[in-house]
Amino acid sequence: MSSRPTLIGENGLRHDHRRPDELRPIKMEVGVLKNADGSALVEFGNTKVIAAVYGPREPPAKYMLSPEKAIVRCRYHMAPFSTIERKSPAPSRREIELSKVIREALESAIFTELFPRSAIDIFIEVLQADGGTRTAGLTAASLALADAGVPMRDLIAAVAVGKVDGVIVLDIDEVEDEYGEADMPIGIMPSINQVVLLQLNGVMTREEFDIAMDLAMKGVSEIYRLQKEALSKKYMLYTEE
Amino acid sequence: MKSSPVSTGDKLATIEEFIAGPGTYQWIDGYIRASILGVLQIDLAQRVISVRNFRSKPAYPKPGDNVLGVVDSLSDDVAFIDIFLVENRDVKSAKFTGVLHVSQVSDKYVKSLYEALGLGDIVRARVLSSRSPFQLTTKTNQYGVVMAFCNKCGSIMKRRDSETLLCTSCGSIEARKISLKYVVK
Repeated sequence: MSSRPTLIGENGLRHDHRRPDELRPIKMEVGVLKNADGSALVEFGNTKVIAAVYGPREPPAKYMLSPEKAIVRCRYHMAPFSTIERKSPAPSRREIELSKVIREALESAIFTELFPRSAIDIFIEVLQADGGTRTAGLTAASLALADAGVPMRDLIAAVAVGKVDGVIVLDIDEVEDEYGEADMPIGIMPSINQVVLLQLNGVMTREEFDIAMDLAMKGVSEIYRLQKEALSKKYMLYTEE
Repeated sequence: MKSSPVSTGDKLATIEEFIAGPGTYQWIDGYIRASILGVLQIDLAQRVISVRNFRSKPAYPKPGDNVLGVVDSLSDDVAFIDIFLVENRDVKSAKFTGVLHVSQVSDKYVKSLYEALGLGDIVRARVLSSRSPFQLTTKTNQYGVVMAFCNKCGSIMKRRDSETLLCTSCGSIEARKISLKYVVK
């Protein structure tokens, strides 16, 4: 095992020269897949995630359908080449859990009651993992749903905050996640101020949690702005046609 | 009516000002917000605010939509249609189940669906219900069979007159509820 890297330098900057409250460079693109009803590609620094949405549609197996609402099926998956060491393509315990928490976050945003007896399928594929894949995945999935025309309460913007070397930092990456003290992914619907995903791995005091939450809100509003920008870029194409 | 683009979650109006129409919802903070990306439409006469989708998505059929489907199963009184296309939608891969009852086939009296449809025929129909399985109708001359296959030999059939089809290879004559849009004249 390699020695522990310095996470916060003497100048107060992080190992990748970011300020504690600084996001990684973010790139978003909507409508990247032809076959999907909606799709999005989201990059948070070296983390690269693609999301595809199909439906609302009738699935082949009808026994699981609800007569009142659409069911949401979500698959979060990491590509075998997404990590430094090859990851087995079979869904791991972690991926199954993340599929569930992401599905529940999206279910709280989608108006499922508008599409009874149908299913909305969401596929999140991590192409390159460098920390914050579930938050990038959730951000991408909500963009893909908006692209598919699925009615939602709001877009979901998600970001991970954490504690490294005693400092609360925004948008932690792989190194900070591995050697830091805490990792807290947060998903928020910014316009209506609702938290749809919140997990905490590690230890934080009550005060640190409050600071982390404020920091997350700040990061989320920037991500939300970029999401809207990515969607309006796609819309401009449509008005020109 | 006035229009401007809006995004999911945008505040549109307060609930006192307007009634929330399609593409919008009321939130507990007292505002009507957009639930889809689209163009804002305000109907001042009806006091209804709604959002029209930029793209015709999703494919989930609405009452009044025209659909194309394949006759999947057939009995005297009811037929199941596999809908594969919803007209005027960007989504090309729709897959829904439709139900066509003998009373909705034609304006004229139809005793059995076997007189109006054949297994494997492609049917153009209008949607009546808002949830799956979708109730369909083929009343009026726009709707009905648009392509049929011979019950005896399976070849594509040609339109003979307004009520019968002629098989191009074996010469068999069969009765159908034929749409004006029948493809082989």
